[in-house]
Amino acid sequence: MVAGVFLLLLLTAVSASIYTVQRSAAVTAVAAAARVAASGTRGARGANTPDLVDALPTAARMVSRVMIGTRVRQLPPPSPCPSLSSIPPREVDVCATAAGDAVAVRLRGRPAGPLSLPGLDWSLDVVAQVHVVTFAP
Amino acid sequence: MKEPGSRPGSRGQALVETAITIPLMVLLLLGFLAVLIRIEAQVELDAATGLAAAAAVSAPAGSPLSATYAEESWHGTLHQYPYLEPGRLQGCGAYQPDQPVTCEGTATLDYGRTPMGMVVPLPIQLRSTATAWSSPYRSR
Repeated sequence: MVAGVFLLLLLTAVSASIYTVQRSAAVTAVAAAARVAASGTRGARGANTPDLVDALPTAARMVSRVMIGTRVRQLPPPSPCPSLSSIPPREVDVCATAAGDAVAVRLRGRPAGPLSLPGLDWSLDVVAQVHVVTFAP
Repeated sequence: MKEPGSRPGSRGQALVETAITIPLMVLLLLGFLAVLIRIEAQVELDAATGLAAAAAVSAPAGSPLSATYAEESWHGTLHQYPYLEPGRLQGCGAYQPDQPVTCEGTATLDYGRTPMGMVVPLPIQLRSTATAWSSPYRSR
């Protein structure tokens, strides 16, 4: 019995460790993507237009390295992320939205973990918000 | 009933060992989880403070909007973590040309509402500092 409990706790610890790495990467990724989104886009009048489109690949590239076996779906801006209950397991959605003078990049979903035990399919829902950079002539 | 070949009291000894070992292992796991959450919380606070500094530097020079932009960015990024209670964001004053803006954010990590409160009963104060510089080509 002790051996069984030990194995269960060990698997829980491993699963929690991997989740921590995934969550930390997600927080860093959405923060970096928010900085990209807050900057301007190319073209005329682009200096004051948030770059939501280029923010998503930035976040997706950063999280895909630590979310093995997880589908990273980039939603076309400015679509908001769906609710957590409607996102299937082993998938995370990345979305970028603009509200007023701020842009927000959100990552939401259930990344694949080493275990598929009930209660250990921990979810992610992190967001980074920053004020957009504006340029005056 | 006594099992053949077993010494007297061996089952009782195993029971006592189990009763000691399992709670210790659970406490060890809770402590490990508390350390992981401490790391996550620091990463989240660092990211929010960094964005706050970047937002402060994007405001017009000499404007109180620096603090407003920083507060919006900081609270908008930090509010997702249930164990982390945002504290104060300080130092994000008015941006001045050719000078950096340094923000210092504080938050409280409270395990009290979770089983990890048995291992870490007191709240932990977290602190993060971030500095942002504006572009040297910026005129104002």
